[in-house]
Amino acid sequence: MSLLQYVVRRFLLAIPTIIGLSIVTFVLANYLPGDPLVRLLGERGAANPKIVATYTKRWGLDKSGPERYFVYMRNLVHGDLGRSTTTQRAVAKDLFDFFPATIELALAAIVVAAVGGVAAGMLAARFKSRWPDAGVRLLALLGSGVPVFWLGLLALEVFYLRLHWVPGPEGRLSSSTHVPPHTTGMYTFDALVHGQWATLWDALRHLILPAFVLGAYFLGLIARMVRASLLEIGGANYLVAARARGMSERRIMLVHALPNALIPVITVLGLAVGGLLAGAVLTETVFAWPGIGRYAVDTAKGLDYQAVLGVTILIGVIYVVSNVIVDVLYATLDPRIRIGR
Amino acid sequence: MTAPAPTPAIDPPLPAGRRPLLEVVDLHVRFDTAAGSAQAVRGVSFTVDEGETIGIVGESGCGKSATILSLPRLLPPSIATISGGSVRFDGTDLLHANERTLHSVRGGEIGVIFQDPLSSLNPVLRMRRQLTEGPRQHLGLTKSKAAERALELLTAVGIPDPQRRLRQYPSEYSGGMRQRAMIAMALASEPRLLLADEPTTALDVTVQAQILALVRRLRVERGLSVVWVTHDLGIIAGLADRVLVMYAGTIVEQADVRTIYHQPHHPYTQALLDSIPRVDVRRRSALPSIPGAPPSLIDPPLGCPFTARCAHRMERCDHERPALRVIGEGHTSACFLDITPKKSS
Amino acid sequence: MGYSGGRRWTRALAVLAALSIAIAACGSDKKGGTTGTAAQTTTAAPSGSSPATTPATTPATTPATTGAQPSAPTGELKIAASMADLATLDPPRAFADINGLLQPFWGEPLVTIDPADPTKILPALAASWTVSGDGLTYAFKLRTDAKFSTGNTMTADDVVFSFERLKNIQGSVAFVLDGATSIVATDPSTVTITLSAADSAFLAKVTNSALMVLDSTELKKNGAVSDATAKDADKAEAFLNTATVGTGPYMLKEWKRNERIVFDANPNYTGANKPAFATITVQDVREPATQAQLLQGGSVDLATNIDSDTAAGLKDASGVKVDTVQSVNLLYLALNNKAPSPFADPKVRQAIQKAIDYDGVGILTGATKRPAAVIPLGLQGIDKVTPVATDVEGAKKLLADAGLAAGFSIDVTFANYAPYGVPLTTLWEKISADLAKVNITLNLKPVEYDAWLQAYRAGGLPLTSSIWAPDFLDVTNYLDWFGSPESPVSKRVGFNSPEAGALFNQVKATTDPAKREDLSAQAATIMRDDASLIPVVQPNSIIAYRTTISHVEYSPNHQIEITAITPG
Repeated sequence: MSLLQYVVRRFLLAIPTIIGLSIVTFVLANYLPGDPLVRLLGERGAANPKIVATYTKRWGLDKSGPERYFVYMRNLVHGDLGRSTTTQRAVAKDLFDFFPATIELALAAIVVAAVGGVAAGMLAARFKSRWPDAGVRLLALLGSGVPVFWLGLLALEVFYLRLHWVPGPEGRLSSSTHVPPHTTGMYTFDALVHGQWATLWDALRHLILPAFVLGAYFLGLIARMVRASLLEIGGANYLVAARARGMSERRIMLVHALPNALIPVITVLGLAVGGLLAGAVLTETVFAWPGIGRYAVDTAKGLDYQAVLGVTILIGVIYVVSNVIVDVLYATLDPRIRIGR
Repeated sequence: MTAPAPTPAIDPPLPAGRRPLLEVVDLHVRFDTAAGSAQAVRGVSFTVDEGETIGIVGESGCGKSATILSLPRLLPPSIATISGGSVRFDGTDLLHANERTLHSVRGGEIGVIFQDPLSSLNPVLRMRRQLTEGPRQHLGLTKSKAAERALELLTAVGIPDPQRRLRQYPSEYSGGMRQRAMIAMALASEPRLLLADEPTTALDVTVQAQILALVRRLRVERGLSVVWVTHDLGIIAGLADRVLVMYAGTIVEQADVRTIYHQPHHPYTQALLDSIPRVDVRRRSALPSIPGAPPSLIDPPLGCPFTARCAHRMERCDHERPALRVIGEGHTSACFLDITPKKSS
Repeated sequence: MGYSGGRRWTRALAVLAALSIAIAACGSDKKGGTTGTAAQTTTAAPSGSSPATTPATTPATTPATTGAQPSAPTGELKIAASMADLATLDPPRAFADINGLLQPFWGEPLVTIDPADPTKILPALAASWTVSGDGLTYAFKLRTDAKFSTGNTMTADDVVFSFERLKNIQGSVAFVLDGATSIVATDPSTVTITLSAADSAFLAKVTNSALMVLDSTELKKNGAVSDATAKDADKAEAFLNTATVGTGPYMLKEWKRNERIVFDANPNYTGANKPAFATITVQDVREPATQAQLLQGGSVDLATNIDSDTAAGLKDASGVKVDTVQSVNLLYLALNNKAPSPFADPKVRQAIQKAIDYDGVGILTGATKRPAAVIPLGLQGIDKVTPVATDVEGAKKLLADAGLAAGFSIDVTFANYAPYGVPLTTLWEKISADLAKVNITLNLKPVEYDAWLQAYRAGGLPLTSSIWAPDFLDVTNYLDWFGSPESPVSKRVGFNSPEAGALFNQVKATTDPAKREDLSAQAATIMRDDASLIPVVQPNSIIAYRTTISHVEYSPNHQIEITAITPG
């Protein structure tokens, strides 16, 4: 089976999962106690039969649950994700607008977690039981032990209020900086593509702290895993064999030991996608980051079922995609795993 | 490598016309384990001449692997300490060499074949990478030249379809093929000395025979010096020029291969010879036929280490350790017995 | 996995480590402070506050002098606000508190209320108005100099179009014009609105910022419809989300949903309330703690969602001022006398009213004054009615009279959240302790907000708590909602007083302020003595801002009157 076939098959297999997910979400969003009309109109509006009738019709709330689900799924097949009662516009448009911010943040967090975690893990393994090791372990503990929300406020207190290294939690750009032309919606990338260096710098300055806070948990986890697995394979025969071929310690570490040590880390990255999206909700709240996490909270509060479904399906798809990517990465790193067999 | 004048060897005297490539004097290796500090190698001295093949035999744990792996300093420093002696390779003091010298000697001058080929090959790197990194570093080959060379090497060690095999990972090789590949890897940078640490233990008899034939051929073709470590005297018979018999971290007997087989002096050598099976069967365990077990190296006995298992034990053996002494031409033994005892069979 | 692990010792260590870092950071405060300003140039510079440039701006109180060209406003006012509910900028479609805060930026109603006395109506786009003797016809005489940000002059047609459109889109704010049977332009500067029934609160309703006048010429060009088909035919929302075509001091520059909304000074503004800043940027910041940090760090000049906990942390922050103002919101207890419960007997309800330690509750919530009935202090008549004081002995006596000297126990189902910064669980624990003194045992059952709201609306909760924020600032909003037998909440809890209903109708039909006060006070007294609905807290509103701005004032209908803020 070719890689392409494998990937296609994985996506096809994910379809029932996503349909199941949509049903569960739909039921939860529609049958939990709460009246979306009151959320939309307030008690005053909800007490006025004329207004209620207009809204019920406008948002299709006069149809039965199963009927609404069927209509929703039919529209979904045609790429129509429905309308959000919270933002009063197309859910697809909302996702298109808000998702790039989260992707940008999550990607930055993954980079921070992976690069920082691997580097810290290598440092700790190299200086096992000495102060760099202790330092890395302390930081890893901090990263994985402190709740994101708290860590975010703490990081802001230190790096924004006291040290003034980063801008405040004012979102993705300073108010004086113009949003770069839309290519991906990820400001750092868009600014780079269009050569707007000042915007790029501003976007990066706003991105770095939330990315660290969001990635901290996985940075700590990866650092500990890399350290443990480097120490575990430190005495591996193939490293001795490489040494016997005259390879330098540096090369042995980077070429021979690290790829082996990274195999378990890849699995963690797969899990990280879920964790990062969960953490994004809180990180986005603390840093006023206009992403999908906040949208999810807003719409869930408003019992906005089409928007909630849209977010759920999007996250489901992201999850599937990232798992496939992780599988492919895994197979690339570890030839003993053969995709599709 | 700029080689100074060869150091004259004192003991045992060299046959004329040969000069020592490797000279090991009074090597001591200590293993620090949780149980205590083990004297794995206790004063081992020997020389290897150019083109010569030395066999080192002994039971598991006698210090033979520790001896050869300590020569290019491959033992993990966290556990093993070379606590004394000297190792000179072509005039270079390896125990005091700097990293740079060590990196060029390892692989470039001394190739090593390990016991377990699977674990000695990096599972996540293609064979091409592992086969070419040595030649690229030591011989200064380009990537493509090194790949050509790897192809030749795989062909030389008898791996069919080498083009395809180069692209594969170790897990896709069979056991015998892996060991051949290990040999190819060890020889890739044209070393002058090959250290083989029980390379055929994990292989079945047929493959073992093929590997031995391969090494024999390469030795002749390339003028290699070889140090071959095994617990199997049977293998050594057809391969080595000279044999060192090790027991409890020391050399107990040393002689040319013919003498060892026909006129063994040390009772341990005799016991080893007795344990060679009449019918060649596949065997993995270490000589169950010698009753008793080797002594602890954490607290080695005062006298002859073999005394507890010796059929010819004398009273002085318990408190006096016999030194290696010359008992014939090129033949030394660490036993108080005057004459060669009769074989017990 | 992960974020909520159970490894407590790990957490504890981590917190210690974090503290040590924080302490280390404190040490380097001074150094950071000096180097920081350079690094902050792109964000900090609380632009609107640079003192050198301020004199140009005209204070809000200065009367407009048409013809004289005032110098252009400068600087930027930066605000942190939670804009989760900001769905649309189209006033008829908007429903959220945040709209009350933002709409005055770009739109003005015909009349407005006096922030100092919410019972007083002041002119805005209407220079004057007359009310017919029967209270059915309102004629608004418009200002003739008012211009939209588009440059067009405002006329009566614009008012009619905007009002008709709001009424016919049938958004939640349409109730304001429910009673208006006709809205006509009697001449280019006069709008006459006829009501189906007298409504003395009509002017108060018209102060709603959603009843702003928009440029009908521009709206029509962009798909706006104002007739009866508007609820389906009007397509102007998208346009209004990109361009605000009102008469207010500011106009929309950019709205990046979920991120920020930016307004520029309206160069065509002709009113009295001249824009003081060249730009106002409102950042969407949800978390009070984050808002506080931005304020402390000087990244914003004003934070609108600071709760009392966060405010405590800002008390000592330099350059930051925290104002605590009595709001017009209410937190009340609802005692249901329909359900089979001891509350059917008014003596029991009055006993509970007497048993609550209001001073203690005030300490808990920081709000010390409370009204006698569910009408916020400051509105018509309520200030004249004395609230029932705490009297435990009196409560015991009432219970004994009702044959319940031994007490009883009852379930309290309430929403588990903290409206206006008052955690309801804490409030109920306090009340529970108070009622224990008269042998009443409360079984506290905090539930999710939505579940609670559904149960409360269904009228099935014997005892609960709820809140109310005014739809418009007039006592009739309260009598309509809580006082008359027809009102939704009265029906829910079984408060059925025909006298109160009659008083409501009289207040509605009376325009004389003194008479309205008197009638309202009578209704409030009935509501107080019935004790079905007991207001326990009139919460405070907290405004936190940097001292680089001034004239930051609470507004009962706009939360904060941002257009009045000036630099310096």
